[in-house]
Amino acid sequence: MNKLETEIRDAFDSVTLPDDVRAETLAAIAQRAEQEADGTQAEQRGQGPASEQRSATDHRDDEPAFRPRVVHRRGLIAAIAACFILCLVGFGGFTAFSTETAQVGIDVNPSIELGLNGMNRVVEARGINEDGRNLIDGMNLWGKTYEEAMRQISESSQFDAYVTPESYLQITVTSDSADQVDELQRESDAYLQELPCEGSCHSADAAQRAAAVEAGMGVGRYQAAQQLMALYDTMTLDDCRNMTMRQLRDAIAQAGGDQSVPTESGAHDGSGQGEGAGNGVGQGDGAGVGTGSGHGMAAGNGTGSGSGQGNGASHNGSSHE
Amino acid sequence: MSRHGDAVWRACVVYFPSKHDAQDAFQETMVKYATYDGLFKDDEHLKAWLIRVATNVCKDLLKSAHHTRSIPDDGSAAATVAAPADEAHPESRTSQVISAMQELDDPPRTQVYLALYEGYPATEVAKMCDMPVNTVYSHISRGRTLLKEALR
Repeated sequence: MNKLETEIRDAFDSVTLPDDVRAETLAAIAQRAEQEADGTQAEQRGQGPASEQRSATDHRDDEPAFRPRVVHRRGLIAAIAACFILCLVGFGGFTAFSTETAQVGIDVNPSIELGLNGMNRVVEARGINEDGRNLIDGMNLWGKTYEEAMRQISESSQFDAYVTPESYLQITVTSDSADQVDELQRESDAYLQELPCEGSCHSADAAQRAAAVEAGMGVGRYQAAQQLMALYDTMTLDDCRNMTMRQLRDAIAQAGGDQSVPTESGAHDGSGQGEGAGNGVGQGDGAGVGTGSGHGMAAGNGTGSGSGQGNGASHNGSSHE
Repeated sequence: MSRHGDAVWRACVVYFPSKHDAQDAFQETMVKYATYDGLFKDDEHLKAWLIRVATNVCKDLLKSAHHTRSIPDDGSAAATVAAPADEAHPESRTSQVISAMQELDDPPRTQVYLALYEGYPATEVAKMCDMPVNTVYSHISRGRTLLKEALR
């Protein structure tokens, strides 16, 4: 890089988006949505869109030229909703719109996190690990509702590759607002029903999330890693970092950990088929739908209600899902 | 907005010394983004799209017959775009470099900015500016010479 390029780079590196411009831009988006909504209504009344009635040259100096353009319905709806929020909360709403009040972590192998505002609209999308960053790379999730964002993520072919019947997806909701947690968990549960994989939704408090962020992991993955490390002295966070959620859960199950956390979907029917498992391990409640989970294995001839033969195996396994 | 907001803002600043005008262009660009439904291949694709839209918006605003320079009613100078550190020293080297870029004709301003600051290869700049690669090379070369003279 020569001197001129270095000077240009240094000079423009120091130019950053001012906070007031950022906030006012959010306001402008809401305002524009209102104008476009008016235009759509006028068009429906046969008057033509407002944008066509107004040339690019008759705009006031304090607002940008407004040229006719095709408005994509979904984007328009998002923008109108942003406008609606503005009407509801007034001027301070610009800040409110962009303020993150909840985080939803999604861990499969990719780990991503959506930052949502009080209206459950995405104001940030973060890739927590490399797969996560690749997954959301190029996705425009900003301003979309949680449901819309999850749908868009699900529709991506990249995500599709991770979500198979063998995989496990954990959604973790964090918010100071119990109502928002409830609502997001409800939506997440509905979303999980549509996926071909196993999954579960949980909540985490701010401290747990902060610890996960510090470790550079998704909250769900971090919680599973903590659980696994408690079961295996030699297991480290780095060991867990690159494991999929399915691998983490299987390892926890093999170590006799409590699988009760991810419960729904009841898909743990395989659990307890396992070979006995000497010490009654694997009796995790997580075994869920009652297939067994190795009760009474201690004697080594445990039968288990599953298919468990038990055979006195003294290793801690079970729960082959 | 947080990921590429700075890049879009800079692209607007290249065209408008006035903060007010740059803000108009920035807002228009972000509105287009908010109402765009297409998918981007990756983050770089998104960034290139945003910069391209921003430069087109800036050019449209400049072309607008009714575009007026932002001069407040009280006649004082409009707020200018400057890095925080330079606000107290408008004649700093940083300000000089930014001003020199803003004062270039366009072309070659856009091509120089995209190549020398954003680091896009000439082939990419050609696509973004919708012009032949050789023309881009020529603009970059001329712009570089003009900038060197201005900053001597």
